[in-house]
Amino acid sequence: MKTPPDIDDKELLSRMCAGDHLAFQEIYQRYHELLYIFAYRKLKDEVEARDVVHDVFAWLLEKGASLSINSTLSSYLYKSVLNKIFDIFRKKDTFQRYVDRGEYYIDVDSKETDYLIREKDVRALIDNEIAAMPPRMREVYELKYRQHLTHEEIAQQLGISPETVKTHIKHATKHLKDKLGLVVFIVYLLN
Amino acid sequence: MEKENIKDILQKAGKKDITPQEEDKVRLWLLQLHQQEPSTLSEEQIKEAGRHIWTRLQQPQPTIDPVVRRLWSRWVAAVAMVCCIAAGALYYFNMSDNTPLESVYGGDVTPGKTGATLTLADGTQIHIDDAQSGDLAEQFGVKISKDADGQIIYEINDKEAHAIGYNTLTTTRGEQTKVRLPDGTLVFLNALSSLRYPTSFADNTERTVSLSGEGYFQVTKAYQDIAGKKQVQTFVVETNQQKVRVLGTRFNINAFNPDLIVTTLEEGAVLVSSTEATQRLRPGEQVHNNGQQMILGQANMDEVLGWKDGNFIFMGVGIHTVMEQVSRWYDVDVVYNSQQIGGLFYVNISRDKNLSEILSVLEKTSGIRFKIEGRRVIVGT
Repeated sequence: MKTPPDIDDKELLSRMCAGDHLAFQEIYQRYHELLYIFAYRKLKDEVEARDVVHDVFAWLLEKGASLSINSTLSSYLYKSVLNKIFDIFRKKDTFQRYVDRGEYYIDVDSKETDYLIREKDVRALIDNEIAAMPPRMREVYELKYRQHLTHEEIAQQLGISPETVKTHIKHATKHLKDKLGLVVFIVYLLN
Repeated sequence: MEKENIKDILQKAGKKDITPQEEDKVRLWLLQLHQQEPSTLSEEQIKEAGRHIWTRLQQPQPTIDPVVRRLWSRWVAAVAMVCCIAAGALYYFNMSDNTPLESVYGGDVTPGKTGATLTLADGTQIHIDDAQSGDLAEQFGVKISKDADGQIIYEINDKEAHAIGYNTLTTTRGEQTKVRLPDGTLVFLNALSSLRYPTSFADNTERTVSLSGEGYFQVTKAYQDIAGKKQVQTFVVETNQQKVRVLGTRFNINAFNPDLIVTTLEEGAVLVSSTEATQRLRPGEQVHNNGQQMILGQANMDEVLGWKDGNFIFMGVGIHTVMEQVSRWYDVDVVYNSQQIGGLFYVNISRDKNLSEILSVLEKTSGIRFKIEGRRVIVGT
């Protein structure tokens, strides 16, 4: 049986829905840092950002089995966090503060008015959050995240067969374990 | 890229009466807000938040079904309110010790010092420390001298070269020692540790010692004549669930937690083995052995070896790790006033200081507060 770190998001999600707590834990591992950085950038408040991320995961934990998520896991999580931030802005009327400062423009990609629908957009968001991480953390995270793309996705991106990707990943993972073994182990212990 | 002015929508957004299309625009605005700004969060802040959230997720969530809530009558709410007040009062009285801790350093604690107890093969115990007269110890084959740095060192004399028996050198909390074994190998023994060694290595093909706690070894190369051939005599350190085999080298073994032994190599080469696995270390590497597997990684030498040079060096460890070391060196018990004390410490400080000095440095680098009560340290926020 595959251990959670080797599973892609899609399978992780279905396992979580089936009540697998380890799958939930892995989802948390993968996304809490990204979502926290994302939320903090908008809210500029550590406690609020923490609460937002907590609430989203608490919801996931509580509703796990009854959730039907149509988008990808990452897109769903980002949307949930964004909605929570929306609520906070609403409650505190933060919008008005930005209006007063003249920050009321949006960049509109003429065709795409909908947001966070395409996997590509979410990936861009994730890359953005990774880029904002402190350097050492970023290095570890990049390697960690690369492992979570589905083999099919990578194969499509690189134009090679999923089998080849699997072999590559096996090598890369081994290399990673040799190189970063302790770091990963310690991260594992801390969490 | 085209820009759209959504001033009117944003002004309405706070009041909730906007259309779904407008809401989407607000979301898009939110998505783009500060998106290109660098985040000012440190790795520790991010990790700390992660731990905090995870801890909260582990606690049972109060869940109230909205349908049920609507059915609640006023008196149920009233009863609930009384309960809340009662619970609040209980909480208050029980937790009154948990009010923010004020740092109190009355009755300071002095640091540990050089010293150890030697238990001879026949059961005789001698406590050796700075004040001990050299002659007394020497009767038992221990020579006390000063090394180049002026530090006290015990040399175990190999007088009765072929005597069979094991001696044990033990340190209590607040003691640390340096010992030179009959073969010239130098061992630093941290507080609350012990080293068992044979009175002579001469007759064995291997030089085997056992360690509990933490020790740093500078192993000299030793040879032995076997059938007229000169052969290297391997030095072996046994701990609870592993053996480290060496030729001539410098390394540290931390076996304070018998379920997670950490072996760090400074120089030379060692082979770490347990019943499950074997791992060869290169200089600068460290292996964590948890009984099932060995996890290899790079070590932070300063942090690992700080103790033998008389320092506490913490490079990003949690309060529990810090206090474990403090507790062993100052011979104090540690009580935590709150379950949620987070934060990582980056500290380099001499072990010669009084406890209060160490604690005040820790306070300055965190939101944590300490209180010394006799031989007890209370840790709180």
